[in-house]
Amino acid sequence: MIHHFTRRGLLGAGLAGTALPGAALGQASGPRLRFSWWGGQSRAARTNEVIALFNRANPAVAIEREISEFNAYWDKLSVQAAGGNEPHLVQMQSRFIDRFAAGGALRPLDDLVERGAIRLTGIADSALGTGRQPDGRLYMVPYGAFFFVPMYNRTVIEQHGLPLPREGWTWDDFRNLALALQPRLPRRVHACFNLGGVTEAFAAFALGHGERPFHEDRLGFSRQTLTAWYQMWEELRRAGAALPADQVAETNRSIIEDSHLALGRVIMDNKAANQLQAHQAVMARAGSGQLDMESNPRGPTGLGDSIGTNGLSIGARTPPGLVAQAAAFIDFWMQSDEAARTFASDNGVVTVDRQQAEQAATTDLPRGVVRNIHLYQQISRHASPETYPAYYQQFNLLMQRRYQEVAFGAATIPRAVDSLFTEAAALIARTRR
Amino acid sequence: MTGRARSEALAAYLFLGPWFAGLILITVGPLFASLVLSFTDYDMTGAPDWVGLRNYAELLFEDPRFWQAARVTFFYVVISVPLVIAVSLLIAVTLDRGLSGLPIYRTMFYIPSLIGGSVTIALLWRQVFGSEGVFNAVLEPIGLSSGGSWIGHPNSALGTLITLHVWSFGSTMVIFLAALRQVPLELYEAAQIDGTNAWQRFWKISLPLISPAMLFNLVLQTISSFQAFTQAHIVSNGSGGPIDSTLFYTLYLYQKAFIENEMGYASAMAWLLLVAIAGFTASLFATSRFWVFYGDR
Repeated sequence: MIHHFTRRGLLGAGLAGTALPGAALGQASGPRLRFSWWGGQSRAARTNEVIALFNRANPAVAIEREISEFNAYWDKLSVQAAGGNEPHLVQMQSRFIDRFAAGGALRPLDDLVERGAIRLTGIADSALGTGRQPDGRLYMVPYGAFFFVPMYNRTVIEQHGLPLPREGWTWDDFRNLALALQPRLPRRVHACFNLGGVTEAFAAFALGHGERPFHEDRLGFSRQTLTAWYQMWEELRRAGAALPADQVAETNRSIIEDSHLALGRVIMDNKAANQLQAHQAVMARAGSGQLDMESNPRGPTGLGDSIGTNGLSIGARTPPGLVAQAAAFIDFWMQSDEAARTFASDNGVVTVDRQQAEQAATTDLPRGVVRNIHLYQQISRHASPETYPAYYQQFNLLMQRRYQEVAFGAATIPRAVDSLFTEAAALIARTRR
Repeated sequence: MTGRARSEALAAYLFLGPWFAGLILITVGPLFASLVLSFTDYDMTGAPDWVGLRNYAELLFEDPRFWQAARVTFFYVVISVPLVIAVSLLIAVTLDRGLSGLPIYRTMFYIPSLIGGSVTIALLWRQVFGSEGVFNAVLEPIGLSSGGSWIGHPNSALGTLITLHVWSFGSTMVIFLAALRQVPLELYEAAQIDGTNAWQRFWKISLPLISPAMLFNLVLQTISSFQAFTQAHIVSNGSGGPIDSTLFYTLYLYQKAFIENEMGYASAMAWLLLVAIAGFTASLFATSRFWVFYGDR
């Protein structure tokens, strides 16, 4: 049997075909809350558990998850924000909030706080300050305090009978330990990751030299401090104690599963303290020892620790119908003790005081989690949460590039320092324009 | 126009309508919007501020990274395009010799061009050419590598990206193969009777007759190479490093647009790229009358 199609019939069928999937989708799914976060497998597992807890109390809220590793997360969020398509619930960080809030990608949360939709009970004002912008409004509810510290392979250092890092150690102690360790290590294992181009590590060095590294309108560190930093890392690199420049260049530092420290290729690194447990888990699989961490080395004028926060924000274009759901989720995340227990300070030490006290005292949590909380309590005696300027993300790339020039022999240290200051001035001027 | 012709025209426009709408909304509209934005300072928050030619002046006279990006991209195009053309032509000529199992070989050679531009392959490339990669594992035992990273060193990073591009020669090769299959066999037979060798037959018969396909491949490869982005973005973790050695033009444009939120500046970069690509393509067409042979002329 032969079927004859008329043109009108074909057109009608085509239009019906295009309309059907939309109709079907519309029927099957209501509005979904898009939630984006960064992190590896362990964070995804814990976040999914918290979402399941939330859904138990709020079964009508469907949450769509968008997960990326740290660097890719900010790239993706930038593109989403540029297109007006940012997620409804956005995991945010104090180092990057300025550019997204100033860029109009985030919704102020003050009205939701005033209405009691988001409760801030138990969060210190200093932590809340990192979620505020110069306009005084709150754009992020900080749920975890993070800080970068030296993380090290305790097993290897003990094996060689060398002194372990301890509170109050100095940058000289750090350098001497690396130099003493290197001759005892097997081929292709280095005493430390080369941190010459790593902004967080340099910030600790500058703070220890009495210089707050970043201001809104200028760099806060001196040429002398940056020169001393480069000199120290060049000494370590030439001695073979720091990872070679080409291996540093190929490394994506935000992927824990590929971390040189966790895989036993370096003995010391500078990492976010909340990553200790995740690093330890990778290390256990690789069988390369026990990790530990200590506060940053002391500089000539004091300690160099600083604290940042991770938190939750709501996308500026979130439809009104979903804002209430997003607020309910943030409130649950912050104030549910069960949720806090489940998340276990995976992305920074929990900021709600009663939850922090509970986690510090518990014996149920893994050693790395408890060590993170104890170290935070030690550090927060002298360091408080910092705010970061809008140019911070671009500065990271600049810092990395300028040190690479030194390490690959493409520029002398004075020239690289000059170039960094010149380029940073132009960058800051553009950001403020 | 008769009623039937009118209704046919109406039906045609109905079917073409979605395409036209897409063309205007997704291509032509943004194209002209970006031209206007290129004369503005626009950070995507407020309204764009008209700055005239400032973005273009900054790019051309004050931005050393712009010139570095242009250099890297130009080098990439000039090295990788001839290499892709040469390798794909060589493979096409080899496959055209009547090998048994030709469809299998053709598919095998074609697969890399389907996946070569993907994120997965770029990630795989990191593993292959990394310090702990397969490449070193093969070369080190025979003393040809000191174990350094090929993607992490400024002297070799771009080379690995060129290699990745050359590896994705499949689509170019298939076009050459199709063109070679169109060459009349009588010409080869007549030349053979006249005592020519294989090289002479290739040089005097095959090459002139596939020259239109050569022009087509050359234009496509040049345009796509100017626009290369994914591989450099993945291999360098988005930085264009080490020391900007893989800072492709599009990667720098992306950094300006989406990391620094300088959409006006990035639009100016996009238009300069468009002009460069148009210039290169036009010069290819202009020179084609000297070396492309169309059988009917």
